[in-house]
Amino acid sequence: MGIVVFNICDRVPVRNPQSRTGSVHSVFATSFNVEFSGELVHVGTDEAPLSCFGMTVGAKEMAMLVERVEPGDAVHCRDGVMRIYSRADVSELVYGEAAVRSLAVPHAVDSLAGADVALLRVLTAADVVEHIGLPWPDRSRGAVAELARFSVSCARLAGMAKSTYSKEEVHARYEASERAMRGSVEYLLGRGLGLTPSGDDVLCGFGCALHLLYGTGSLIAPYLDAVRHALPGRTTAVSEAYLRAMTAGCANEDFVALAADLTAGEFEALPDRVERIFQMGHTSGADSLLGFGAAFGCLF
Amino acid sequence: MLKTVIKPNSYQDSINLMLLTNKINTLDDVIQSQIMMGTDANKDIYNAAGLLTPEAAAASPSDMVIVVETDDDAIMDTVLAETEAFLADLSTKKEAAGGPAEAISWEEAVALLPDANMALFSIPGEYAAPELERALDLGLNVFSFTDNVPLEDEVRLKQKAHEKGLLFMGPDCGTGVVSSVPVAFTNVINPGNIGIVGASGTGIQEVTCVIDRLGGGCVHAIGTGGRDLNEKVGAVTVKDAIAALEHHDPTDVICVISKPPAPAVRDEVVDLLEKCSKPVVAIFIGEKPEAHLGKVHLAHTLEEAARIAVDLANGDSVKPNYCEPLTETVETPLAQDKTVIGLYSGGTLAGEAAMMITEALELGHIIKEDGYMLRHDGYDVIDLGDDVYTQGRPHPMIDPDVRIKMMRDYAAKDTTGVILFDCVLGYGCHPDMASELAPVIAECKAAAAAEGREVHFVGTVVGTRHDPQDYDRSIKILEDAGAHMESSNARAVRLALAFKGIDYTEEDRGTVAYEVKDTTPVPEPSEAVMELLTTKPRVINVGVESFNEPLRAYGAKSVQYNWKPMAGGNKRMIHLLTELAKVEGIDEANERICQRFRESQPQLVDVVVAKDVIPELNRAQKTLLHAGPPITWENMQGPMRGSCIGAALFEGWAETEEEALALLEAGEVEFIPCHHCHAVGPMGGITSANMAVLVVRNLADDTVAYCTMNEGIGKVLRFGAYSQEVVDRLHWMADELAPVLSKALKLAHGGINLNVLIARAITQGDEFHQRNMAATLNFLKEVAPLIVRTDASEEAKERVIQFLADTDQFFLNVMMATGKAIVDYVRKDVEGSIVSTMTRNGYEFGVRVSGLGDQWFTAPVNTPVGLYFTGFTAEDGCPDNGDSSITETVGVGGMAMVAAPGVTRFVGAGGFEDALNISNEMEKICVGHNSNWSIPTWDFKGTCLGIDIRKVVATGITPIINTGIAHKKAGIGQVGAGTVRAPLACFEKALEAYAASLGIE
Repeated sequence: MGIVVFNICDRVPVRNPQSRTGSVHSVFATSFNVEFSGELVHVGTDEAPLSCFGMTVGAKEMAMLVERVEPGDAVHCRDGVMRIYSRADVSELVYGEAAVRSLAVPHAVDSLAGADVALLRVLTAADVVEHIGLPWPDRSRGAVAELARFSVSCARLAGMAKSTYSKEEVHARYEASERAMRGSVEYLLGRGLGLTPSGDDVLCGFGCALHLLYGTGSLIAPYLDAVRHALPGRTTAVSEAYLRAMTAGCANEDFVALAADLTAGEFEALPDRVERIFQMGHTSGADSLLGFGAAFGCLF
Repeated sequence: MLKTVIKPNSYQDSINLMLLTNKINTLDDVIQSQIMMGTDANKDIYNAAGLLTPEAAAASPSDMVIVVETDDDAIMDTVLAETEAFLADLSTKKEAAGGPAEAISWEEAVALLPDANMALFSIPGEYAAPELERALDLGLNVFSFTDNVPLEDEVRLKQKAHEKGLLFMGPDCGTGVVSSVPVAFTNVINPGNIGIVGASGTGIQEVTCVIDRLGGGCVHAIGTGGRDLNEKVGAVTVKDAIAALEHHDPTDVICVISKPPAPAVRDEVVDLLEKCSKPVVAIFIGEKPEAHLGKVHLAHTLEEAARIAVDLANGDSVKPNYCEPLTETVETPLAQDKTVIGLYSGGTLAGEAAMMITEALELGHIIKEDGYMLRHDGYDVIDLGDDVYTQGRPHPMIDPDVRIKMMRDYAAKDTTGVILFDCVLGYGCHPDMASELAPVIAECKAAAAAEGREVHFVGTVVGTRHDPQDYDRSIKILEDAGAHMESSNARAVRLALAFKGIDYTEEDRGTVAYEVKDTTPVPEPSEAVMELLTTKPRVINVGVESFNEPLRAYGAKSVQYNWKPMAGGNKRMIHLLTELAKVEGIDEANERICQRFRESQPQLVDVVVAKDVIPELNRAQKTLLHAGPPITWENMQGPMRGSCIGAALFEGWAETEEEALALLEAGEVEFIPCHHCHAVGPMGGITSANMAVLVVRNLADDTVAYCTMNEGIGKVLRFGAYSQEVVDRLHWMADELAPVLSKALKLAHGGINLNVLIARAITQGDEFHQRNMAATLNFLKEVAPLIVRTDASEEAKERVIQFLADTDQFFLNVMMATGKAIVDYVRKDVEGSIVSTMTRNGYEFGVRVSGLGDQWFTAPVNTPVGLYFTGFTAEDGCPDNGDSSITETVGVGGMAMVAAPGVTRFVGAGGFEDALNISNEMEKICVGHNSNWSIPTWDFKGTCLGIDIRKVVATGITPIINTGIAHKKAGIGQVGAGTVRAPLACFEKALEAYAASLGIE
């Protein structure tokens, strides 16, 4: 009898109907990752948010899996079943009938009136800066500030923010902020400790918010390019997977929900949502919120 | 000179004995030695080596035979000390490991692992067939590392397995992987989605190791034994395994590996593969496929088979050509006259090398003669694992000696240019074969170089980085010694050919269409087979203990069955036992027989004159009853003859010893066994017309039995004394003792309940053969008040009571009559395999069996072993005598030794521990227990009940009898006490007859 996969993100590569061959990449207390030709698939429990490159199984089944699987175990996917060939046993994860979830960050077509104020209020109340893992000397603050300025430039260029600058000046400022933004990306990528370094979490959160604010068009393309260009070999495989997902416009379930709350004006839901995000990793939640807030100009 | 020591009934598996032999051969002053079990096949080996001494020739299959050729007269002390140390070390390792309990029978093994689903065999092939069948009958899948099983047995057993829905892997299945668990001699492979079916051990090893190194993995590698694709076997296991893997979800690719198959069988296998829904690859060693056939990808070499399997497993397309360039290039080929030699421990690797060399040099076709796979114009490829090289020796994967010698021999030849070799890793193989071969390689190369020649050693290490040996280190050691190491055997052979200036290539291979001939779908596998393939195996390991190691290390459960050949290896007996095991109803019949034992109610009812109750004694013809099976005067031993003389004097047939002797020698007296007249007699057992006999009635159906009364100790008739004192005592017993007791017993309503006396006395330290003190006292307690109440004279009463008080063994004779009353009741139901009589006459031991009526099965008696009274030695002892073994027949005496630990010292058998061991041993040959007679010192178990001749013959454990020892000369009397074993031959004869009665030939 196989293990039922409840939810699966639509980005997960094994959904490709052709058979896939990979291996277990890493195993943790309540989840593990499988690698297929350089792409990671996260297998977590349904008690945690669905990863933007993952699937979820029951907690009891996960407890059994993490006892059994080991890094290096062969993994083969065929006909909607992922089989993990461990010394202890062959585990079968049946994902063919799982609920397919899109974790694309919604783009707020209409303005997010009041969203920035609501967000600022919640993040301030939560004292995000106190919980971040990113070392916070001036250089880091400056890097995050440059990210924020880039977002402002995007807003101006998109006509979303009032500006007294001329069109040419707006473009020039956009280009200047783009250059500074690239520097920030270089600085932040891979910075910090942990499975997902704090700098990466900031970049993920920032990118998620950019998608929400500006969509996936050319405005934010320089940011996405900067991240993609800087990525190879710079950080952990897991963090790289999250950053690549971000560049594709996806985020974890909680951030997608946060974006949805802001889009819908569900500001009362924000405190709980933020609190839940804080539970992510050791400091990952706070670092991601820092980046997310920076895109809204929050905290600065 | 040749020295021999036989260790009786001391079974050890062949691998341990080979390793021990190797050790002994290293001792100074040992020219050569051989240590093996005494089977017929092994005796041939001794003979061939010039080591078959008369003692070795006489050994039984369960005996360990140690033969040493030496000039040192005193060497055997050292040899024996080394042997004991070696065996003790094995035993200590077992204890230190604190491993699970071990079994010595199938019943015990199944009890220890009730959910076992596989039996793994590594026992001598000559005994294997019935055991393999037994495993199938128990519903176990079979993995038989054991080889030398006759082909007809393999055919029959595989057919049976197939019909029962079980998998029969083997015989001669050296390697396997079941649910990622390595089995037998095998490598540790990455788990993965490739399923292998292999009729070749080293073929499986090579393919799985290459798969592992390519990043793939195997979930199963089902070995089928080398003959499965033989025409007669018909690929039963291969087909069943293919069907199973086709239905096994985690298997994505099926890979079949075979030695050269019978053409028709091969075609059936291919047809089956064509119907599989999963990608398949097959290699039939010796075939050179020009194209893939339908959906079956056909490989030419083992490496190619592995590469194709990995590509299929990864969902990649199969390449047209897998022949990749060698990493090493040969600038200057060897001279034309130089040849390539192959010295392989793996048969299939040798076959592959022979095939490739034969094809490249167009030498015809490969052979299989005396280990040679190729022998042409100086090109020799040898399988050193062939029987020719492994008779009496460990396999070359364990022992490098033969290969080392051949390497030196071939390297010294002018014509040798290249020596190919394999170095096989994995469980069961030498712990560091590379280190054994490397110095020899270096030495050979140096020696050749000194002569201005070049000799290249080209090899492959068959193993993975997970194997117990170090794969990378093995490669390095061999490379450092100057060997050219390749990653597969095929590549090694190609490099060897490159040294001959030959660039071995493969043609691109496309696919030709195939039309399925048998369109029936792939069969559904049985539930049992699918259960085997979807769970970790639970294994009964029958044989070599080290096979447990990889099983347990990789998540399988196993229990060790310390197998010994049944019936001491006697094949005739094994056959009979095996056939009897198939007969239904024997156990039920035995239970009915045992119930008769249990429901017996013996009562001591009277003491009478023998002729009044035994018609054979009440006639004109002078007649004497005797103990044991029928015997003539000529064969009677001294004590029985003395008893006859005494009886003749007692009866008044003669006045003097001489007259009595003349009478007896003239044949004027007819001798009849006591047993034929519902009687028993102790020692000589001589019973005459006017002697008094006890009368015991079995209330179950009023069966009656008789026995003379115990005369006391010292010079007594039963021990062959016949002095006037003896005769006078007999008269007193008949004229006074008997009548008084008779009157007393008539006052006890219905007599004295003997079950109660026995049950009481057994808790008080009696076993009723050598020790009856408590029973006699209990009897006195019952009968004394009755005696007092009789109308006998006071003097008579006093004499009788005093006699009973003085005669500790009085109850022995009562117990004997009790036993006879029980068994004669039992014998009215003629069925079953339970011993109904055991008795001796100093010349022969006689056994009767419940299902064979009155038929006697006799064999020469043994002489008791024990303690002798001062002044006497074993030289003085008479061979075993008496009907008193009726006590053991009904489960007391020696069969209840633990009830009377004090007896063990008296009979020289040790202390309580020995008593317990003996009772536990006797339990193994009995059907059950008699709760009427419960033994406190045995945790209140009842006495052993129902000696089963099947169990006696199967285990070789014969009943032990506690007995007095008479002087071998008449007239002297008892000289000691000891124990004696019933001779096995009686039970073997009985088994023959019993089997014949059931139509078994």
